[in-house]
Amino acid sequence: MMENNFYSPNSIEELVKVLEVKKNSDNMFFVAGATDLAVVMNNNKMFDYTSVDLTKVKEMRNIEKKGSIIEIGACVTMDELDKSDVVRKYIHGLSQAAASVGSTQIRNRATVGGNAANAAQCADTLSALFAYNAIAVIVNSNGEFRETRLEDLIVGFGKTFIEDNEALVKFKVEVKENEYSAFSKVGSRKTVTISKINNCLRVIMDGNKVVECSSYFGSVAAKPVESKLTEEAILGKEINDKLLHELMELGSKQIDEAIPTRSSRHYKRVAVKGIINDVYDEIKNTMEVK
Amino acid sequence: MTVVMPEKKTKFKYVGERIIRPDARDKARGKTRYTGDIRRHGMLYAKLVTSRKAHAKVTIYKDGALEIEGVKAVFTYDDVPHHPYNSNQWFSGAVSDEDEYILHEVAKHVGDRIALVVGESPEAVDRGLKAVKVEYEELPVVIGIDEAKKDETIIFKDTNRCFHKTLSCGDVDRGFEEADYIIEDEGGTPKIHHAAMENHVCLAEVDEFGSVVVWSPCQVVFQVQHVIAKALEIPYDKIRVIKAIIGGSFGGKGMPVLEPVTAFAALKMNRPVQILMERRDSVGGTRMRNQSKQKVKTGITKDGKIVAREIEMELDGGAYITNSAAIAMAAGKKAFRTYDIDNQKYSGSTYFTNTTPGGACRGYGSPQIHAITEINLNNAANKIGMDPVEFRIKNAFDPREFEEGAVDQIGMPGIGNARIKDCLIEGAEAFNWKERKEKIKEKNTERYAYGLGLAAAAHGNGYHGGFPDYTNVDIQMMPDCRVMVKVGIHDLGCGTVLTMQQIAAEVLDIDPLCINVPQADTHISPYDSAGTQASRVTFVCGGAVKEGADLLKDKMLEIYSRKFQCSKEDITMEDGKISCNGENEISYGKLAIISETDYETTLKASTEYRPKSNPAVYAVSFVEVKVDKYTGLFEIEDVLAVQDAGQVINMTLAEGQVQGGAHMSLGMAMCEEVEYDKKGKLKNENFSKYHLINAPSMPEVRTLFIQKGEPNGPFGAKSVGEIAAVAPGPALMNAINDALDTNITEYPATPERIIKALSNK
Repeated sequence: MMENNFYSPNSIEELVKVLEVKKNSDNMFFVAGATDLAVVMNNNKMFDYTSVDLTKVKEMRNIEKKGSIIEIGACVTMDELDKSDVVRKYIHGLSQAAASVGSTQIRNRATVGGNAANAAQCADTLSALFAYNAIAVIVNSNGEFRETRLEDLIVGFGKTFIEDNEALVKFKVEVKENEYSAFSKVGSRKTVTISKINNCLRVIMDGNKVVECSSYFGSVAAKPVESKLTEEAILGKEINDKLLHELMELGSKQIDEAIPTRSSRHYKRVAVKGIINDVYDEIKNTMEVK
Repeated sequence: MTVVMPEKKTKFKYVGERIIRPDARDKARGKTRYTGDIRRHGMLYAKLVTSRKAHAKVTIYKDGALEIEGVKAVFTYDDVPHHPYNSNQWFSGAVSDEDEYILHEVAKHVGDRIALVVGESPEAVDRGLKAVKVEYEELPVVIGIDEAKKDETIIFKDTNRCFHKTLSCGDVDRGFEEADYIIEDEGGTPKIHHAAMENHVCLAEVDEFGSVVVWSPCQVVFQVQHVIAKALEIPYDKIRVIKAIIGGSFGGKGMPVLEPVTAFAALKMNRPVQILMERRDSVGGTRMRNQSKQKVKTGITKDGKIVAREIEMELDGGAYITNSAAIAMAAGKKAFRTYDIDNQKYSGSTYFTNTTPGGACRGYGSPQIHAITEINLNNAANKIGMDPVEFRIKNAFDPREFEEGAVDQIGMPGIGNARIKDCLIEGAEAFNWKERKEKIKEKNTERYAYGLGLAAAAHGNGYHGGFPDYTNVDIQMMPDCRVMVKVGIHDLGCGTVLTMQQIAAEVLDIDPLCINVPQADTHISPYDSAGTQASRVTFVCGGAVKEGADLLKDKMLEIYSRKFQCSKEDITMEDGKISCNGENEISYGKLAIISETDYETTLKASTEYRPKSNPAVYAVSFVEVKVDKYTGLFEIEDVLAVQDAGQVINMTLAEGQVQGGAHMSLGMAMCEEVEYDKKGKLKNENFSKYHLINAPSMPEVRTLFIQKGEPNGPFGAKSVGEIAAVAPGPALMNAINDALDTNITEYPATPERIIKALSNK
């Protein structure tokens, strides 16, 4: 009465073969942590489908530092990201974002690739990956790899520019000297919560001055948006309380501009101050520890 | 006024002890078999098709589903008997309109029962569900009390106002004239989902005698029997309802929702049928705490005496009549049982809307009535610069007489040994209220504000004075020293069985675990008039078990004294053995055998117990909160829950009740709220969006029990479980308002509401 197929490639090579099948199929799904798919399956009462387990593809499971580039496999779980020494040290904001996703159980299964490819408006790791200008590495059914800025790959609201015969295999993040970052989010409760708004701020210091900076806000548009206003305000400045208050006011302004007509604006324009305060404190604290 | 204290017994042998419940181990290990785990031979599975529209005439096309392999039947309104019923009727004499059917052809809310798919496997049923085609002819929708009051679209009969009644004492107008200040507040409480871990479930089959046997994790087996008898027009005695092991209820499984349709399907298919709901339907398709909108007006004197109060309560009753009258009355009565106010008026109205029907939800009206009045009281105290604890002590009731027939201000049974003042005084001391109040603001930072709050609440002990309230007990000593107690109880997870064991054990002086108290079964348990609701179980059913045990003890003494020719005064009963002045010691079991062989009588007793009173029970909660003024999120830093418990039967169980109750009550103030959009669709019909307080945000709840005995309660006990779920919420709201200097009166205090209140300052 039903036909459920299941593929479990062990390598990129095998994955490429599966992609060849997938390109002609309309009910074939990638599964990594299944934390998004399971919800969709339950809600839509899906019965007949084919799934492709990506978690056995060894090339997609690692976190590796190659010089100034850190490669993160798409099937690295949130928990692994959170607990990885490399990520904690060099991409602090990303480990914080991963640590804030869902519950402990969810973080044990949910993957960073899934978080990106599912392209939810509220995907926490996207803000951090965007702030680091992460590169997505994609393979297709011919075994060809392509690299693209993750920000250009994500459309948002569940859509991406990943083709039917493609799979997202890993991310490349370039890290720099004297680089600091932090992530914070606010939801309807403290834990196990969906972002109403989140922020990742990344700065590079030269002495006590900021020489490079990027700031992304998530959950206010289809995908995380860059806050040019914040970035301009920080560049060349010292990290101090005066700057914090300036940033908090800018944050509110940014929300007013991003969602001028939505009723949630009234809340988010204030809440944004809280998360700016959080990321700012976190960056300050990390600097002091160093 | 004379206050006669109960006989003071400081030390009991079993009562009050922390005995571990025997079922805990299996539950913790996942070994317990709930209704959804039961598999009967030839059992079919079924699921309801529930309406996705809030108000619509439905046409259902079954063909697609019936073509699916394994789908055995699809039932709709056309297939079921059309005898109207009201699922809230818990006894046959209940007078109320009847507007529900087994399945409906006009859906009145999202989640309403419109069809049933029956199949050989859960998967076949799911496939069938997806293949059933429903055509909706949409009707105008009424969402919210304000919309209902317009009476533009009428849901039932001639007006959406389903119930209205006024309760009053004294002369309110004159009272307000005497007032130096009048403090007015408006606010509201949300619809609340009970969030029992076990979704609604029912199993039914036809036995070899042609009776339909229904396993239901319910609260009142005789209510289920009555409602099925009504809905299917079959004889009561042909319906056997067995209370199954339950995975939580909190009032949510009080009214039969699945039982009539499951019984119908089992009879129709002549095979066992099991219906297990998914969370979405448990949220939208069963019952909810009634939403309320309230206006409170309080008149006080300069020195802090309340001289008049007026409360206007409007409740959202949802799509069917269910508890519309009972909830408005229950809420109102409590207003007259907390503070000694000479002039008071309560008016309660319940309205139909196209939302999930209202039902019991831990506290039955108390969480609503105390929600706004307790905020209003704080505002009154603030008005005259009086400490809110002092203000409450000044106005709270003193203990009253509890003689049979005593009444309160509105003619309800007297409040009994009311210990609200003790809760306030001892609680404030344990919480170190005064000192903390003086220093709390020192903790404030630019971002975080700290506040303290308290609230008091009252609840009851059964139906006495309102509805028939009695229960039958058969208690028998077995030849092997075991004791069988037949009483229609339903353990909802609170530890009711163990409570009864400890009460009987205290009387008979025997190991509580030698006493078997099976749960309610209409074909085994003697009749009980009202089931496990209305906070009646410990007070009424416990009282019944105590009386039954007392009678059995008398009979044991009688038989023993005849057999061994000794005076009853010289007989000792201890640890399952009976003796006379240290001689002729035999086991209770041996006495049972002697009773049968020598005197041709069973060593048993029966009683039909009627409580002599329905006293009030009280709780006071103290809360400290830390509010983030940027995000509007807050942390509950400390909670102390004080209970006027009379006498605790099992301290571990009582603490569990108070802590769990605090979780629910704080949840109503923090995050729990079922929301509907304008078309009546639920915005949060599962736990990804309907948020309870989760473990990281839940503070440790400290407990304090005032145990000063209730004369007519078993060993002085009175209710705990419902009153525990009332005061922490308003205490939290008061703490938040104290921290922010705001007056938030809409529950829950979501981050959005907090930020809005701060922005409007």
